[in-house]
Amino acid sequence: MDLSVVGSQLLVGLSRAMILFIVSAGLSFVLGVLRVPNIFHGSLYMIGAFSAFSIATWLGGQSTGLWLAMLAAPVVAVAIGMIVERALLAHLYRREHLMLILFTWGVMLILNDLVKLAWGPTYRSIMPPAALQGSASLLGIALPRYNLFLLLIGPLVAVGLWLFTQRTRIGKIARAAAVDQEMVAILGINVSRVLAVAFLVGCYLAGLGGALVAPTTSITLGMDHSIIVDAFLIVTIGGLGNIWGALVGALVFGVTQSLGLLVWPQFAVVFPYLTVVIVLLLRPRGLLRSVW
Amino acid sequence: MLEVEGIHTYYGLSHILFDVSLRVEAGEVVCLLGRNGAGKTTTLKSVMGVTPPKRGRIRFNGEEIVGRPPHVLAQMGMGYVPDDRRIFPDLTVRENLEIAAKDPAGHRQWDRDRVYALFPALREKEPVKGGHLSGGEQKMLAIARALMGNPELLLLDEPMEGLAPLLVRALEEQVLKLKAISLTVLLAEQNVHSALRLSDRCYVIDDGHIRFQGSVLDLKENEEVRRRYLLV
Repeated sequence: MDLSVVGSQLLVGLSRAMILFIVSAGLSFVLGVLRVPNIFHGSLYMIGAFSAFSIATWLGGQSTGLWLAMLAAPVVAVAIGMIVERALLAHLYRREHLMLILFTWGVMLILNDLVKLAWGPTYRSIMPPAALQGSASLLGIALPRYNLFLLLIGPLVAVGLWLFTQRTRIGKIARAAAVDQEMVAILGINVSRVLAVAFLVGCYLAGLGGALVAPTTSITLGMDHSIIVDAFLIVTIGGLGNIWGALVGALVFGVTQSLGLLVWPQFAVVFPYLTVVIVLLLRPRGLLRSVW
Repeated sequence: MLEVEGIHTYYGLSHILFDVSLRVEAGEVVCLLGRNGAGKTTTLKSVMGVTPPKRGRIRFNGEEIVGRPPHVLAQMGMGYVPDDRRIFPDLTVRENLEIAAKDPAGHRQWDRDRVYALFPALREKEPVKGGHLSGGEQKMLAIARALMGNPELLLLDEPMEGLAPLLVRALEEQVLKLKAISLTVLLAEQNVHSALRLSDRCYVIDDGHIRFQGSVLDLKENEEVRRRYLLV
């Protein structure tokens, strides 16, 4: 097999992994701080993608419009996520996990129907901004520029999230609240507000993942289901609530997916799941430390 | 400063506190003495709003506070040191203190330097994660963390519990320093000797009922109360 084919497939896998990472990191952060397994995280991803399409189209589909769409689409996801959080979820945080899963699953169904009402059942697609069209070569391997862009964005998001949790006051409080919300309240901190901010970060990452994936795929109903299953698996093999775990999990998932295509194309879709099974058999609590 | 009047507190269906009343005046150190399970922690948690009483009244600086959530009470000037310390294990000593910093009254008595001056051991452990501290260090950090909030009233739940005798003496010294700067303290203790050394007045609680109240001298002379409720 040609080595450059393997190389380019690997790089495509890595860039795909960056989107998986961004979405999973949001899911993991919410799971770690709020203890909420948020099933409608995938819906916010889908809304991010559809919003990117609509904003780009509305602004004329030119390069500036596409860039603005990337920036604004996650905000739409955040707005919808925060309405659900403030109106409903904020009152349910102390419920058991089963209730939270049922609730967030119900919201997923509702959002799915709302997306169907707003955008209809047809496929949509957008182009990457002009600067990111075509291909460039990295280490002698030709790769779409947009994938290179994703390879850059992923680490930026990881560092940004790390700085947020380690360096900002609200990030530190969020880490404390992940362990003991009552004690945080005793220190005079309005925990509900902290949880809302943490949820906002999660929604933003879901929307950002959707906006980033939009130029690489057909935007369609059902993308919420597929991403949420993958994201939960990634978070589980990485270690619940661990941001770096989400990165490791996403890399494992994305790379086995793309290399599987080379090895046995008919069964490519099986490889990441097989890897998940193997990882969980060897390390049931995930590769990195789980906060649960 | 604090007036508790006839509170009844429940954990679920079980009735824990029965008609508990106590007062703490500004600048006083008042001790709540009692055995394990007597209701000391529940009394402090009732005051802090963690387990609000079902009946009875609590006033803080003249304001009725039953039903207000803990973060509001903390903003009003209450500080609470839980008996199980509840240090945030993933945060460093410095971060544990940083997130606790507030100054509701605006007189800024306590900051990191001042709490390090009170507990020099913590300064050396500044970059260490809370979960990696010894029990004694965690006790100090729990008190330091409460002080960072510049409380008017400090609720101290068994600060000496589980500490080696040498550490108990050291910690008593620190509490006496707090007393010297006239911080108001409600101290829950089962160690009678510590309590008597530190406080101005005491209440004895047993089985959820206040059984005795009086000055430290009264308690020293009251052999019977000490024998019946405190096992000394």
